[in-house]
Amino acid sequence: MEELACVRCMSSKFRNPNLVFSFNVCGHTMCANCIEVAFMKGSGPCPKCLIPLRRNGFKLQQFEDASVDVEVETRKRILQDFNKTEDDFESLDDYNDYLIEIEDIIYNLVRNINVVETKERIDQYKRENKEIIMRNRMKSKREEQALDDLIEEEKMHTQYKRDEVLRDEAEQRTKKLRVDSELIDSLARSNSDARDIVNTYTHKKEEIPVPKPKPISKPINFTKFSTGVKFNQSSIAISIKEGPLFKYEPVSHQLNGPSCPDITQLDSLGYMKYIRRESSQELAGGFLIKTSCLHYVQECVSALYERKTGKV
Amino acid sequence: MFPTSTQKTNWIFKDELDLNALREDANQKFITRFGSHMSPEDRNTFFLDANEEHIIQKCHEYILRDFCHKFQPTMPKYVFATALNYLKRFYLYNSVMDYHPKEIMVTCLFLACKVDEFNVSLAQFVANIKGNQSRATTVILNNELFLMEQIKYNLKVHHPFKAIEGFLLDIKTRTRMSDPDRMRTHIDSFIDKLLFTDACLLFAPSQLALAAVLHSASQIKENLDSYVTDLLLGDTGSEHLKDLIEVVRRIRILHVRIADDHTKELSRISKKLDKCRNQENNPFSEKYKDRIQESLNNSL
Repeated sequence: MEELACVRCMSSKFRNPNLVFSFNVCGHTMCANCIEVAFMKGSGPCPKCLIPLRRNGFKLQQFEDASVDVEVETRKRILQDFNKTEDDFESLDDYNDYLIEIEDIIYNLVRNINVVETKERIDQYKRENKEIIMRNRMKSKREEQALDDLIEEEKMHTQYKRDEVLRDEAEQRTKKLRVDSELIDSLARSNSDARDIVNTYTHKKEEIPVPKPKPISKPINFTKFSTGVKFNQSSIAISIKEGPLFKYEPVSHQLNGPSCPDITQLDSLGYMKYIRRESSQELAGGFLIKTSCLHYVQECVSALYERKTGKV
Repeated sequence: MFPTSTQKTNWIFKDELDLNALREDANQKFITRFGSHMSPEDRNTFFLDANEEHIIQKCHEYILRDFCHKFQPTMPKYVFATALNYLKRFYLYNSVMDYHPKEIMVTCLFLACKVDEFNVSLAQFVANIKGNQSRATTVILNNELFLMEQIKYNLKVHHPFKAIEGFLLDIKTRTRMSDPDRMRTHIDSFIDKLLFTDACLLFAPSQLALAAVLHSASQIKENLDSYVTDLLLGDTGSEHLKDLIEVVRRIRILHVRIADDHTKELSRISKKLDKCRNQENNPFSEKYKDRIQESLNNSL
């Protein structure tokens, strides 16, 4: 097999191991330096087959044979549109026919067979199945999102476990340190036998419980809002229900008692004279002493005419 | 607002006859349930009658007051008033023999603490109880939901305290009476006494407050009659004046009649109660344990 080489400068990996190869839609390999030079303007012909190429169409080559890379790329592109699943077909045969068609298209594109005709086929397919394509794209996007979430959750879980262990260890260490310092303290101050003291403290040290692996509770997961909507979920259009507009109607109380001043009258009638002012903190919280004052006054007239006549 | 409250629709009764009839009913129901095998004479000696039940209940109201006085942290008066109201409501439809007031009393108070936003934890609450605290905890937890059910989940209780403030404010604003705050001590003692009567089951809080204010005005040799007729009721309310006078008169009668002292009878009735109470609801009895065990087995 011939060695992989840049079509422009003919240098290969064998001569220069640091060479970075890229390829474009035609499947011809070029090294990074040559791309830099040949496509300075952003586009230009392929040195070998003279097909017009764009600079940003170059992809890093991953396989030895560039044609494999081309096929992978093409397949990716085609499958973005040809994304029906088995559920979209009535029978298995239909589905298989569909898969064969995809393979045909990809083969044709890669081998440059009937390119124009194939492209027409693709366009026609796109037109006919616009909705299904969109729907399946959304679906796969969501599945990917769910997978990502799962991975994220697992990560948090392990992190939490690790923290737990670390915390336990630190706790253990501080406990031991405390016992040690106590020992030194009592050695310095107590009058009893030093050996006894040392003995009691060694016991104490042994008594410090080794932290048991706790049943790990799931850490609180902050990937969702309280409504269950995920933080970074692509916004799904929320259907807004059109109803009659809310109309405010002032609340009226049936006091069943003598009439009572309105909240706006409290000042002019002189009620507020006998009530303390609200403090600035209360004002900040939206508290108005007038409301309380009104409640008191309402409270004393409400149901004053109350007379139970019948039995409950 | 009292006029739209459940207190008004469900827990204000026409007069004391109504209340007594309900209590009598609860008492009779218990006796027929547990005394069907006895002769009528035996029944009378064995069971408490409605009056004795009422005495027991009254005594526990005073026990509750003392408990609230000593309660740490200091408890506002309205919490106690709410608890007392719950207790009264509960024993309108239940017999003292069925559920011992000692247990219902603490449960009422605990529930009142919650409803009136006097924030104490159960542990803090129980720390005030002398005697077995863990048992008190279970008693409270066991009874709490049942109590709520019995008072029909009507938890908000309106008290005269706010209305009194309203009246004092109104008097200060609209009359020339010198220093209406002089009445406060009299008002407080009047209302404190009224709490132990059935007044809260018969009258609206505003009416109680008005009666308290008028009573204390007469105590300090002031006359507020013109305030009531001219300012409070005005022209539109003059037709209600007669009713209002009647209401105030009835409240003052309630207030006067309170003086009965039952401490002598209490020990006798308590002994009787210990014998005739429903053992299924007595947490110390074997029957109670059997019942709990059975319900546990059934639920498994």
